Amino acid sequence: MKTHVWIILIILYISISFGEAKEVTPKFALYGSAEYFESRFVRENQKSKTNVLLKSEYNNFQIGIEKRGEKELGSLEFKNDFFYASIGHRFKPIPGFYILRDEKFYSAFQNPRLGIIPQPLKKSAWIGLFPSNWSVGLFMGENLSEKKPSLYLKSPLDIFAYTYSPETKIHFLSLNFRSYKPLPSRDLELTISSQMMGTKENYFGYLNLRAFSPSRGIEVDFSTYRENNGMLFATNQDNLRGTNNEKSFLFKISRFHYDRLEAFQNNTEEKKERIVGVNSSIISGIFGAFCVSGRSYKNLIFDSSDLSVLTTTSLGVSYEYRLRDTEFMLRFEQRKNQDKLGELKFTIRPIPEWKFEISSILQKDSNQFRSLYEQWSDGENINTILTDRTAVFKLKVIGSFLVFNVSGSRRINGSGEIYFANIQFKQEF
Amino acid sequence: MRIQFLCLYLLCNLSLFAEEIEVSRNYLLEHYRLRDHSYGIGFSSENKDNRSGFAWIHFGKQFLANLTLNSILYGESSQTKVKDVVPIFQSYYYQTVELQFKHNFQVSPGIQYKFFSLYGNFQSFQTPNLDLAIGFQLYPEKSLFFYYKENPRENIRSYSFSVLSGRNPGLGLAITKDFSSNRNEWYGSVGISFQFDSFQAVTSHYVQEEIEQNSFLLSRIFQDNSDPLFHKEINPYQNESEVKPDINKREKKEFLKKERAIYEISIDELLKFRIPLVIAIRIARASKSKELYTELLSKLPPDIVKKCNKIQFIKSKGKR
Repeated sequence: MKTHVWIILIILYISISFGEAKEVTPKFALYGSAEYFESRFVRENQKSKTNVLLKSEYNNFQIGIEKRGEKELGSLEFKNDFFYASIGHRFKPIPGFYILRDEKFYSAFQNPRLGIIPQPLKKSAWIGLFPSNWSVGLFMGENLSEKKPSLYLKSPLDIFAYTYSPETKIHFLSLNFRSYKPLPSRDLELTISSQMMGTKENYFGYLNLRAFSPSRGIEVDFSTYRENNGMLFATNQDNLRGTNNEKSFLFKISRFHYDRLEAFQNNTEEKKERIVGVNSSIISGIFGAFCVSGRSYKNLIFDSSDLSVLTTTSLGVSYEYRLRDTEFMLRFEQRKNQDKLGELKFTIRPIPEWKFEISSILQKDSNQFRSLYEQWSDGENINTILTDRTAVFKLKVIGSFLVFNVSGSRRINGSGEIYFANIQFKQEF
Repeated sequence: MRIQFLCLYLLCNLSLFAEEIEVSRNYLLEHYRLRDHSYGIGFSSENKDNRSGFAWIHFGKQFLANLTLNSILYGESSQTKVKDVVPIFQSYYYQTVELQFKHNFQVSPGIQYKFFSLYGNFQSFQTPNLDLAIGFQLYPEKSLFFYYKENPRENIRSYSFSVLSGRNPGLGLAITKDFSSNRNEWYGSVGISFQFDSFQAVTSHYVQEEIEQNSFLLSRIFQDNSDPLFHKEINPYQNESEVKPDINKREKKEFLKKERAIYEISIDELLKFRIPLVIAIRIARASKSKELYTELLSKLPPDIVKKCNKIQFIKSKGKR
């Protein structure tokens, strides 16, 4: 056998043998998800899907067997301080929602405190060194790198991850700083989250930057996203997502939550939509605040030979309440061109580790301008999109062992209604 | 409920040495001028064709405990592009662009009082019109203004309000409704400001029908309003129990001064310190009374006072 192969085998043997073993007691996790999607454009046999996974962790090994739709799949992972290897449909050493994901399924359990169920993946194999520290390795995956291995690089604590496939020239980047305090003596928190994937010409992704000072009540947000063929808003099977190849920018600055300035711009090949507005509380106290808002809407529409500009302004009134994580907003808006809009938002954490969210929007069928709506991009990060749906209702319940998601929406001009429900549970023992 | 009005501004248009110009209805910029005693400059760009520059100074004088008279001097200079089409032949046209310059000066007196009061009688050299502004300082960093403006020449009445929240950053919103015989119109402006020490920078975006105006102003504040209706704004991100006390502030201990005891001094004790006999006799007699002793010591030379203090100190040590 060639000398360099012997050297690699010896290194692997040393890595596996001298790595620290985990607890001897095996752990099990049972996970299941069921999803239902109703739309007149979907065939009967595509309306519902299920996924069941049984995962076991023992020593440095992790094994999973699952039934995803009609397929039975398996996964195996080995991990110690020096060496990482996995094969199958579930385990990978790097963070990131979009890399090698199975587009038809997703896992909502991504909170490390409550237990993570890994994202469902396409068929892939991973091998790398020092998985707990700065880690580097190779991988192969379906539709991404089937003939030539790809490279990955990861930082400690999953803050940064990068992959590159020489076969398909696809890059992937993930950044995740949460509540980082650059100045410990002050209460300023910074959050940076980003995921981007694709080639230089064709890519999708988002970047969210947030600076927050709780004592001063100042919050500054900047976010941008680029959509490509519906890949970005992947968890929204109800099709409430951006249009193809659109780029969007949002800047928001708020003071004590109720006083806020927002500037939003959405660019596609056919048009550019811009919204600038301020919301301000007139009376506020422990009961919440009565607010007034003004917005300016501007659409630039590019025809083949002409540029048309549509503008309008709006006046809105709202009742809002915010105390830490509990939030309520009821808002009505009337625009100068007779467009009308109603919004409802409610978030509460009734008991620790549980969260209840409702968001809803109602607008006239004949509205000329689309309206702002907050949407989950990868299940955790929220981006603001524009929607022309006449009615949208979303309910989300997030708990330590259950995530329930139901939504309904009505298209413009009565062209159909869409209903979506997704329930996921897990049990560890 | 007693309502504290901070500012009642009676805006007079005394358009001295001026031609008639359409005064900017960006009430948000007016709010920044009315809020604090300040001076500053600014400029605006409207539809990329029209530009204007302006400056102001806002000062006041307190006459009684709660009464302050204020005055604002405001000047504006604007450049307008007027486009005209001149026919040359039947189907050929020539476009001309002419620049027009206009100037305007205003004086706006105002009164700042705890209780509401109203003044009338407004005049203008050019066109009589009525301007009224009523202000409320709701919180230390939040203020609200209501405006009423009449323009009899165009038969327009405007009702407007503007709200400013925060200083660094500061967010502003102004909404206006115009009433006239042939139309009712809504329009407004939004703005953001930053303050460093006493300097403030503001940028504002104003939208009305087909007019879009961006403004920028820079000012120096030399006195801000400090008597709000409510002293503390509620922070929705924190419970009251989470607010940490300021650890740098220490409670000031008040030390009670002990009353200084004056002991009787004999002539012999004074002579031991080589105090002249005549002065020693006077000191010995005065030391029987604290007031007389203190009064006498204030008249004596410093070296003798020093010796007397030393004698009192020795006596007080002996008493302990």
